[in-house]
Amino acid sequence: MASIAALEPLIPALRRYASAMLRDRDLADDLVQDCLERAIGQWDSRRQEENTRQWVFAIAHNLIANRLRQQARRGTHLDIADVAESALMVPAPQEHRVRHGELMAALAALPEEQRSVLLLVSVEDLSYAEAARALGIPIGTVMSRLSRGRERLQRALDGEVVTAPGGAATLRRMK
Amino acid sequence: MSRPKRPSGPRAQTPVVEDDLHAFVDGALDAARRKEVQDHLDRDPEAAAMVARFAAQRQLLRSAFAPIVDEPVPERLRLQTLLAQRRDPPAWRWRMAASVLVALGAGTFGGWQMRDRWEPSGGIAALAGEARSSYLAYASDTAAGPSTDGDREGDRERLLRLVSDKLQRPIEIPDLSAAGYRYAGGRLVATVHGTAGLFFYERADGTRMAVMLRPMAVEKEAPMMAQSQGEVGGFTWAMRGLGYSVVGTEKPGVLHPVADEVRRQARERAAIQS
Repeated sequence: MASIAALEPLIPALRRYASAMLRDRDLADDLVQDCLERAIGQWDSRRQEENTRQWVFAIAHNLIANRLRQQARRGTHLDIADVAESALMVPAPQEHRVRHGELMAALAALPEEQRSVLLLVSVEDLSYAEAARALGIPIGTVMSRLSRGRERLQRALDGEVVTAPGGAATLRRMK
Repeated sequence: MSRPKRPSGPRAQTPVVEDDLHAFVDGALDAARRKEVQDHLDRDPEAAAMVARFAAQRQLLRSAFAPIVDEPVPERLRLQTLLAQRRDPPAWRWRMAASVLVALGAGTFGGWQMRDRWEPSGGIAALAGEARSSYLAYASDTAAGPSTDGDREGDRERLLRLVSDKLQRPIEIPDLSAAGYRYAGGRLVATVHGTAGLFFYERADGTRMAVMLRPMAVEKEAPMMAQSQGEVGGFTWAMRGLGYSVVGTEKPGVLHPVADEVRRQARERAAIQS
């Protein structure tokens, strides 16, 4: 059985995932704290064969999904331009700044369900099976969301106009 | 794009479908299947172009978010901090129960550059830890701020009498107005190495810092040492049996001159007294 110390190396990745999903560093860290407190509290009652990373990402993802639903209900809405500018506060090298802003905006325009799969698989290196269990969806759904997410993100990066979730905003290539 | 399911059957006959291209990009294929997909890509320029775009996209995402994992983890998200909070009652309950709180010793919080494991127990490394945990318990949360108000002269006098009494020596509240910090209030804090006085300061922009004082049973004289962990850092030293710790979330470049000023005032008073 893994020691609770197994959580420690996952903390930077949880901060990264929460930041990318919530697009707000402070909010993300609050959420990671909540997630870790829950993980510590449930540590002894978790299934022992459970993969720690997948388990803790599942906790984080549920909290994130709740938070995003709350934001949607309250109508909290991040302006896509703001997202590109500063919400992530990830410093980008000077020469990549335009590309970086473009990427953040394109990512922000993805539906949440595609963004989570894309990030868990592409950035957090969860296997498809781990991502499926973390998100509580069948592996086939992981594959289809990954496929749609990648195609959509690619169209946005290639400069096509993409309709944001809800059809409210459009995103254009920034030069 | 249509997404046919990969039929079951012998591997050699398995056609390459879109899922395989993603799995290729994500390095999720075993060596045999990877070779098959690679052979397919060599024959299908359209699929190869798609794989190249997705691989580039994957790399773009990874490098865009890489800086976050290289950042130091904030203190409140460290496993040791969270475990310590579980072991000990949450600070807010203590605040409601009593105005005097037992600050955790430095050993409770991991990661100190100097730990009392090889320092004499209760020395300046321990003081640095106590100052830090007290600061985290009180100053980072505006609702849990000082028990006395810095603006009210009566409060200030009462606190000074209390602190001087508990620390068994005349205590002065350092005047840091020259450094841009206004005294905002203070409180007594019980540490595992005795009672300490904790004074809070605030700058016009709302930035807070604190000075902690407590008698030193060991390391009665110690040069100033820098401390930093997570978001909180500072400077700690001891002089004539009294330990001082200047803590806050400001950069060392900001806190160091403040610590020098506190030390200068303490030296000045010592010179007058002797």
